[in-house]
Amino acid sequence: MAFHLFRSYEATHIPGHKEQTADAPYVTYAPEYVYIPAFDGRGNPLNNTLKVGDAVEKGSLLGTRAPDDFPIYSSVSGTIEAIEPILTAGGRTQKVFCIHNDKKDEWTLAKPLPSWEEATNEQILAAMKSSGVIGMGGAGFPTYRKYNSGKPVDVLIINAIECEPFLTTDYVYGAEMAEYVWKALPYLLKVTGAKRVAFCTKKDKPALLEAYRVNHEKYPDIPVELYATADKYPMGYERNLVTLVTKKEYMNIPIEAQAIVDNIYTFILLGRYFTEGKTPDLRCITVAGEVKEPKNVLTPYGVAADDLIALAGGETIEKGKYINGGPLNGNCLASSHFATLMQSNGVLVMKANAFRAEPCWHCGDCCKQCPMDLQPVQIQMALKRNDLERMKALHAERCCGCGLCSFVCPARIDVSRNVQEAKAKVLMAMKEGK
Amino acid sequence: METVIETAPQLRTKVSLTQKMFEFFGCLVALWIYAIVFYSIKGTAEYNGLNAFVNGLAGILFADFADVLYHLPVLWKKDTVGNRWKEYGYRILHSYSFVTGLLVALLCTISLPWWQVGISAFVGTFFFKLLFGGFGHNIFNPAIIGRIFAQLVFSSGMNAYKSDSAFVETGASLTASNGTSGFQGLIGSHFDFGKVFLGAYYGALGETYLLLLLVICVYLCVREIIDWRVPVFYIGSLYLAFLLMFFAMKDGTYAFADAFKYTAIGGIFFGGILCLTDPVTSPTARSGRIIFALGSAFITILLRLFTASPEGVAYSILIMNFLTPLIDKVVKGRTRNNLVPTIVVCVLFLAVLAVGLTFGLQHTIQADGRFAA
Repeated sequence: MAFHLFRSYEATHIPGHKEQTADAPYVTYAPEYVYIPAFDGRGNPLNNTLKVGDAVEKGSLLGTRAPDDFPIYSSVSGTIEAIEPILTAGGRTQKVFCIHNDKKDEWTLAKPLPSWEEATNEQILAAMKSSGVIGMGGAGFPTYRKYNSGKPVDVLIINAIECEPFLTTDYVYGAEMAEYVWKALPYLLKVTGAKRVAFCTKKDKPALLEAYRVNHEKYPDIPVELYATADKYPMGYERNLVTLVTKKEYMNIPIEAQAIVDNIYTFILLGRYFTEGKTPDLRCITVAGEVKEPKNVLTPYGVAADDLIALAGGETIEKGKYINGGPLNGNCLASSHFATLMQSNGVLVMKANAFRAEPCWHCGDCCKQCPMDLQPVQIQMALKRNDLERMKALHAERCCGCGLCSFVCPARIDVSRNVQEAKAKVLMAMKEGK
Repeated sequence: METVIETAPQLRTKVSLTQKMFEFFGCLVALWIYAIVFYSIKGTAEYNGLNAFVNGLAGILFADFADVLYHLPVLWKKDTVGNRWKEYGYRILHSYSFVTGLLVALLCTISLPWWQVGISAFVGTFFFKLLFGGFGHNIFNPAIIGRIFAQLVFSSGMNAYKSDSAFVETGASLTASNGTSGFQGLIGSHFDFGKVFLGAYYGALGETYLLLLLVICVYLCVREIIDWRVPVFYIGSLYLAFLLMFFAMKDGTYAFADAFKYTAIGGIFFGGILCLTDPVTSPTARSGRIIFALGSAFITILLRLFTASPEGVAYSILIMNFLTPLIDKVVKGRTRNNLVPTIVVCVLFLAVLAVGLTFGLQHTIQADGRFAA
């Protein structure tokens, strides 16, 4: 850690709790029903949807997203029994396809791409779109949109850091499937024109380091460099990785620094589609926290969280909260019967904090830890005064929402939420042209 | 399972504000115990260890009494949630006034009667903390206010203690207003390093035990309860300024020792480690804290060298508390844009050194340790 007199630590060690699931092998699980949203990420209904009663196979097209016909595929084979609203992992109650799983695992395979030398750029981009792969790090942003921007790309960054506490899916399942990353890379390097690839993981993840070593020896022609980072949070945040690899900063999206960042599992799904024509179906989900037997479950995406919790032996506490995702960025759900999404990587049961907030005592811990070098406490004070000029002067719009400021706050104030409110205000003012 | 919903992040650090305040309070108690032991052994019949104990207790109780009074409305106000007595107790405990009270007692001399310590603690807590909105909302450090109140209102009590002349030639204790001579006579032969480190001389109740203070400083910095930048820059810049001063007085190699003694006696270490670092009244950014510490050092050295008052620490802290919002405003933007803070820090640092140098060039040091123009 470089010594900074003025700047923040930029990342800090937080207890990982990963020992719950990191060492055990994952279990596979075929649920009776899966629930796949009939809406896109913004809440608009899908087009060209299948009807109730239709038979589907793995890889059957369920519908397409509205603006760009982005496809949504079924993750199991079976029949659509209903299209009805249930709680989804994002927190909204939306209409979903309730698909009864016949557990036959029949595939509707797409045509795999020819070898990367023969495939044209158009073919590769079209395949990326028709693969239905979205950002598996949690954002759920269609991956192909990052690649068809037409801007120059210097480096592809594989994010295998998984710095959220509790989650071990990339560590357990990503490491096993890592070869698909190397299978996808030639296509992606060709389509982007990138010259190098950065494989980023933490120093304390031997399985991923080993996966890198094995595959790097197997495919020596692909220029993949290893970046092993310290065990800190939020090392896996896009901006930190781009700064680590390119030594540049950017304003909105990584392409401004000529970089594309994707989760390791996104690369795996792309590789699987390019070479085998299989659309995304399985997702490894960490079920941990206050459950009897924490474990990683390999399951078709869209599985209901209460099935997973039952598989892990049920809750061990009387009062608590259900969380989709990791404990720092994840959201609380009102019930355990919610449908996980394709990008869901964890279902956690945790004790309620039930903190009583105390007045801010200006200790500056939030400034000291902010990965973006902001001053959350000052932004919060400006927000209370509704002082837009001051919020702009403090660059509230650069908040990355990692939640560290709330995490470290000894007074238990929701600093992160306040800063994001200020960020929204500043962005709104910028949009309106001041 | 009964479900609750909380905002992200779901995981929080285990370290709470209460824990930090109690750790800080524990450090103060360590100083207090040291003081009780010291005065039990070295004190006189009139001012002994019992006095030290009673003074500290009076500070704590009177400061908490301010809270007891201030939070009374909780008992009948309609918007109180839950058990009223429980809420009342919570408010009193979580105002952390006991810290303020003990700090006031440690900042005053042992010759101050217990009820005067108590009143000072009460005034600092009630008028300068609770009326400003309670913990976290005060502009001035309430303990420093209590200390200055005691010095102004109860000056006879602060100065009453005539120390053993074998330790301090000037007669009055260190923090007492000992006239125009200031600390000038103190750096002579009467002080050796052992006395300075172990605190075997008379000052305010808690300020003389340098070794213990340094241990406390390291502990608090490592636990990240205080920012190490504040004491290091405050004490460091003052030491360098005094060093330059003694060099300019042609003190030779004795300058190192003399400057150290000159820094160590009086309230610089106590103020720099325990009062200046109060997070509530200091800037939040790291660069702001360095500016804050250097600004305080600048005012301290001005007051110490050029005014009749020998002890500038309390006033310097008060003035810098007043300037804290301004410093916060200067340190805008991201903490990696550090051009403006760097310039301010350099200017302030040079200013502190310049004051020491100027004084040193204008004065000479005499054989008895006093300065002559």
